This record gives sequence, C-alpha cells and structure tokens, in this order.
Amino acid sequence: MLTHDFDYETLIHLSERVAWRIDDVINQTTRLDFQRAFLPDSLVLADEIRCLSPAEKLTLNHIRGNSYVHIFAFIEEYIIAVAVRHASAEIFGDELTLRALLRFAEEEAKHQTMFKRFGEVFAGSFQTPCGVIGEAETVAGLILAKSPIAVLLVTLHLELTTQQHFVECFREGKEEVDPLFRQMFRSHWLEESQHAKIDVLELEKLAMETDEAGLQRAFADYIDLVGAFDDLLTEQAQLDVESLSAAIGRELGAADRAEILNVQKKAYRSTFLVSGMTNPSFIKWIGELHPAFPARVAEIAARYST
Amino acid sequence: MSSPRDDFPESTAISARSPRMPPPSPLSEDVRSRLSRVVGAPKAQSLIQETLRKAGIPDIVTPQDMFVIASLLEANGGAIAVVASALKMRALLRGATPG
Repeated sequence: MLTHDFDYETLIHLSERVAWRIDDVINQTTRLDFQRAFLPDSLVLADEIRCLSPAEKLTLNHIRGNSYVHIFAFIEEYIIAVAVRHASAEIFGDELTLRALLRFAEEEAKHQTMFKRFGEVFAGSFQTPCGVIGEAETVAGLILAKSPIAVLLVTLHLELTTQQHFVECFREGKEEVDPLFRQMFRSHWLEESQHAKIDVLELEKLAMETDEAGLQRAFADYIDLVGAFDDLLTEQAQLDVESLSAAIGRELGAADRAEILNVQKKAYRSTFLVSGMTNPSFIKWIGELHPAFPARVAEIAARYST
Repeated sequence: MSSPRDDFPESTAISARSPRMPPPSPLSEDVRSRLSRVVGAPKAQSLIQETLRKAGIPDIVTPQDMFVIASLLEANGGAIAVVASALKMRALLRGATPG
C-alpha cells in the first residue's frame, strides 16, 4: 500500500551499524560555547528582528537552542510510549518486528536522556533561568488518546522534520553552528532515519486494516494534534520572550515584544509544522494513504506559513 | 472437476473445520498462532473455541472481537495473559475500544 524499499530486518541492521553512546556526545566535561550560535538562523529567524542588537540576537539564539532541544525531549515522552505500545502488540508475534520496535523505543529513550542532559548543562551555565513548556506526560496522554493512525502520522511528520533540519541546516557546510549542537543532531538524525521508516511500516499495517471512515477520522485527529502542537509552540515562544528580556537585562516595550513574538511564532511554525507538512516523503506517503490528504495538508501548511 | 484446494491433504489444524466453513480470518489466525506458541496448537484451539462460546461470537473478525476475546483470555493468567495483553494492544491499535 505504501511504496518503500525497507523492512524491519534491514532497519535493525542499519540501527546496529549507526548506534552511538550518549557519553560520546555529551558528558560531564561538556561546556557550551556561548560565543557561537546554537541553532542555524533559518530555524530562529533572528535576523528578521529589527529591535535586537547582534549580541541580543545571539542570546535569543541560545534561548531558542535550549527550547529546541527541550521540545524534542518533550515529544520523545509520547514517542517512547508509542514505540512501546506497538512493540507490546508484537509479543509472541513477529520477532523481527518486535526487535525493531524495541530498538526504536530504546533509542528514543536515549535521545530523551541526551536532550535532558543538555538542558541541565544549559541551565547550569546560562546567565538566567529560561522557561520551557511542561507537563509532557499529560500531553503524551492526550496524544495517545487519539487514533493510532493519527499518532503515527504526527510521529512520522516530526521524525521527517528533524531529519530535514539536520540535512538542510545543521550538516557541515550548511550554516555555522556550535559543534556540540551539530554532533547532537547528527547523532539524533542517524537513528531517526530508521524510526521514520518504522513509522511507515507500522502505519502501513494499520492503514491496511482500516476503512475510509477510519482514515478520515485519523486525518482529522492528525490536524487536531498539529493545532494543539501549534498552541504549545506559541506558549514556548512567549516563554522565550520572557527569558530573553531577563537574559539581556532590559525591559522590552510592547512593540518590541510583539515584533519578537511574531517572528518567533513564525519561526516555530516553520520549524516544526510547515517543514513536516511540506516534506516530500510525508506528502508522498499520505497521498498513498488517501489521494485527498496532500491537498488538505498543503492548505493547512499554507495557513501556518502566513 | 475438483478445485485445487481439494487436492491438499487435510492437516490436523483444519480437519476440525467443516469443508464448507470459510478460512479463518487474519485476526483469528493471529490469536491461534500466538496462543499456539505458548500452549501448543491443540490447547490453543480449545481455548479459542471455549472463549468464543463465552463471548457469544462465532469468530474473531473485527478488532473489537479480538479485544473481547483477549479480555476473556486474560483471566487464564500466566503466559496466556501475556499473549492476551499483546492481542488487546493489537486490537486497540486497529480501532477497538475498551469497555
């Protein structure tokens, strides 16, 4: 039903070949270099903000770097549960599928630990506290209550998004960023490449056993989840403005706050929503699920692009 | 003229089924296969028949059927309950609703 050239066995081999340890990426000796940008500006859009000096834009970049990492740690909360849920459905079933899904779950838990470790290093070395969205477990519960196909669609969307970020922004020769950040997201990308493919295999199984109404319900749930994610991103953008004001030590006026917030909302939407909804592989697979889905996703992506 | 299927020798697994009965559904086959791995094929077959009778359904055709059967199988405890728990999750992922 979905066109691809991989299976669970191939993905296990790939996963074994690229496996890495957290300590090799971030450990007790890790120090952050606040002279460098953490994120590529294409994800922050700081250059579009007129009311900040170059030094303040760099501070915003660091705050956004911390939030970016936190958001991945945050979403891993539900993705780990998804992987475990799918793995538990394979007990005494297909052994290769079970093994691929258990590796998927373990790798996601490892990514979450790595991101949390970064959060601790950042909190210990940045000049002021930075607010981040909370209640990851509650949000995970809300996501998991949706149609399992929708949950896989959101997961695929996010996993393709992170791959796209690495390939287009973080990779050597693209934008200038801190080497630790590049290494962290290179490691993440290496394993997420397999995870997105596992999403496709699981999605295919579920989609083959559902009917038109089930697919339509799943798509509506996917759109709801994207909308809920947008609300969380807006909340994070507001927290970032507060963190910036504290970090640069000046009270931002209403107009400046509005300018920064608007650019950051746009940057968050572009980074986490539009990049997934316009990803060519995502469009191809949802089009194979249902021919009407790509146009509907394109319409919503256009709304989030304005 | 006989159909190609008539040329196959009957295995013990299908001999209990009437020749007019349709083949087992994929969900039914999944339940049978997983239970067979932990209790053996004969015991799995009798457990399924007994549980279908208790549930008052003729076969496991929909994810909801699978959920109902798996919920009843859980009462057996031990490895059967582990299989049942996996089957419940499989059913939920395919659209079954608890309760």
